[in-house]
Amino acid sequence: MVISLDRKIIYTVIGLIIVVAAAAGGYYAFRPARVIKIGAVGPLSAPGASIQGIELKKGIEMAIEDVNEAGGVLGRKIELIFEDTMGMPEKGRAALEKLIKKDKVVGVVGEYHSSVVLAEIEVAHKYGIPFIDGSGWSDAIREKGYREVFATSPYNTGNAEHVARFIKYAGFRNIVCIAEDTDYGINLAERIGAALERLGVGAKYQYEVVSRTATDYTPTLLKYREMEPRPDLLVIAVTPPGGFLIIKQAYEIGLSPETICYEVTGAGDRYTELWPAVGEAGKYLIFFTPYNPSAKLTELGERVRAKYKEKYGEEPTYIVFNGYDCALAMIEAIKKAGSTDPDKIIAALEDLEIEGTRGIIKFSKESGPYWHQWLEVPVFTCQYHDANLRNDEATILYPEKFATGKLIRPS
Amino acid sequence: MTLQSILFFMEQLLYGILIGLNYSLMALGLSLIFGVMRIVNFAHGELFMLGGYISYFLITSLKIHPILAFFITVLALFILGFAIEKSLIRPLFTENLGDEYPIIITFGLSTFLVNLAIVAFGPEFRRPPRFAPVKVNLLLWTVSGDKFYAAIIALAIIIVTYIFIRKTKTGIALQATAQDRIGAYIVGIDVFKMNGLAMGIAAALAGAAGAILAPVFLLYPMCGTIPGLKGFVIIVLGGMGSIEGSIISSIILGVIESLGSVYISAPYRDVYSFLVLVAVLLFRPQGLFGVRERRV
Repeated sequence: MVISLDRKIIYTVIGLIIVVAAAAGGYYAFRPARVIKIGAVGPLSAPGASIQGIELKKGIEMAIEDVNEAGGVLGRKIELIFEDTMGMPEKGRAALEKLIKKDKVVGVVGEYHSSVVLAEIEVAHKYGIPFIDGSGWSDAIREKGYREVFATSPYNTGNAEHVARFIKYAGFRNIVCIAEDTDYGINLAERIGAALERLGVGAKYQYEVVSRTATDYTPTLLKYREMEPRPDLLVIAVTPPGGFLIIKQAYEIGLSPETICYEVTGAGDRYTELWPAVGEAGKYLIFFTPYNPSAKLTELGERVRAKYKEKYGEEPTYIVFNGYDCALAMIEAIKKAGSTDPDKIIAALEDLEIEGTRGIIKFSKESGPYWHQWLEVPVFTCQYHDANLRNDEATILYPEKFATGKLIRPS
Repeated sequence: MTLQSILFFMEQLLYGILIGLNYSLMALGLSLIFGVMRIVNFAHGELFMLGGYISYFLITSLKIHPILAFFITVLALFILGFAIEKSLIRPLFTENLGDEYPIIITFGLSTFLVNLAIVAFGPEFRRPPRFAPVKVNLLLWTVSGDKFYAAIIALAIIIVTYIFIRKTKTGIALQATAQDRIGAYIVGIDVFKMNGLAMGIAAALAGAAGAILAPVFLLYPMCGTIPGLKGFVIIVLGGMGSIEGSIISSIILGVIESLGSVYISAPYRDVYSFLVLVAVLLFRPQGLFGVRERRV
């Protein structure tokens, strides 16, 4: 076969192009990355809790900004890739696959919905990539015992323990808990009961499961209004809008304020949403919260708070701090490991001890609900002694060392 | 059985009736649409949500009196319903599109309105100011003022709508269209106008429900989903297209939910309505008040 000169030139040029393209591709594929990529996940749109997701994202972004302004880690800047998981487990799973396989992140932080975290950690576990749960409270996340999964978020067992200790401290004797029909709600109600028993409180405790999506809880609440003796505390483990409707409807049928409502999902702290929904029914409301502006933060926490207020013109919520702390823990672990190798980051996380926004972050090695959990994550019980108060005007009731006042019962 | 337990039962019954009356506003509109046009409007719950938001912003932003805001909301939703019929539903009849067309178009409209509400109003919960005292003393019981007055307004709207449909010339034309579309057309009834009117009234009823129930159940972009679903259960229960059936079934549903959540179990509250629906479909497929239809 005779190939003409022209064709020889064409083949040579094509061959050269292929060689150059392959070399360039190879270089880009195997060159040392100029940035360290960290993945983040959270609900930014419906049906997920988008308000909380946006706050979480702001906190994570602030941590990344601070580190990059200080020169980055291992001489490289951090690049954040945030995926909207819409509160849907299947979206969370897909987001993790994309972050790990396509974006090649070295670790993932964030998320708000426990059900989504549970789907995401399966992917992180499959690929051996470190994952720090920013705001998923379910014990089931910890009980998986995955070596890749850590949590700077509050957790149900710890929260239930706090609620039980407060009940003992405040001297409530007849408690009814209304819990939503989800793993989260039922788990929390059960753990509160177990903690009350463990602490030997001796109070009468019962819980009832209700539909999270119901709009009318009056029939259930009427039952407790007629109960003899009437409960002195109504623990509400139902996320909004259900939880807010229970507060409102308990007041309308005359169950509260004689029976004091105790909101334990953390939503009571969100006063800009609470007051338009419950109005005067929120007077005397006790609420569980992982943060109160009156509580003391670390030096870093105060800086984050001031910067957030300057940037967004509002007080940060606990979710902003959750976001900041989970991102900070991941970055510090990379720094400590001196590498972006996932195994080395996981090993560094296990022995990490750093100052976060609200205390010293270190992860427990105790199994069960405590696995890889920041045990000392601070939580509070506060009270609105009047309607339409901001969260910084609420009284901190418990823990005692942070208390700014005593429980006020309706006269 | 003690006197206290009887009184408690009666109180639950009363709450069930109050809730049922509120459900009936939703069901009545859906029933009217199905009766006249033989279509199911999947966006009916979102019209409820829109009614709530319009009323909320009229009261809080424009400082309009709640009663005037209510009437403006009803009028706005009537116009919107009329426009939806003219732009989205009418091609079903004029372009001879398939039976699946109204399902797709109303389902799409529902998704669009929810997402529009998220963008326009935000995902936060809102509650318009109360239009009633917190508590009302009713015989032996103290009931929620918002819920009680909402039920009274709902009852008044139902009576007015019922009289309009049964006693006025336009109402009778609507009934004629529902009974036999071609027959109505032959005797000179403008059936397209009747379609628009049915859709407008249904949307106005959903908007009225949204406006009066917003202080009771809170406003958020997806707040119409559950009332919309309940509306479907009620119209099947009562007999598709039956006005009386949908009113009575609403009250039955409210009572079943109320008693079921206390005497059986609260988390299954929404299940009871579907259990009753399955039972009715098994033993009386045409619904409690529907008439068995024969087609040749």
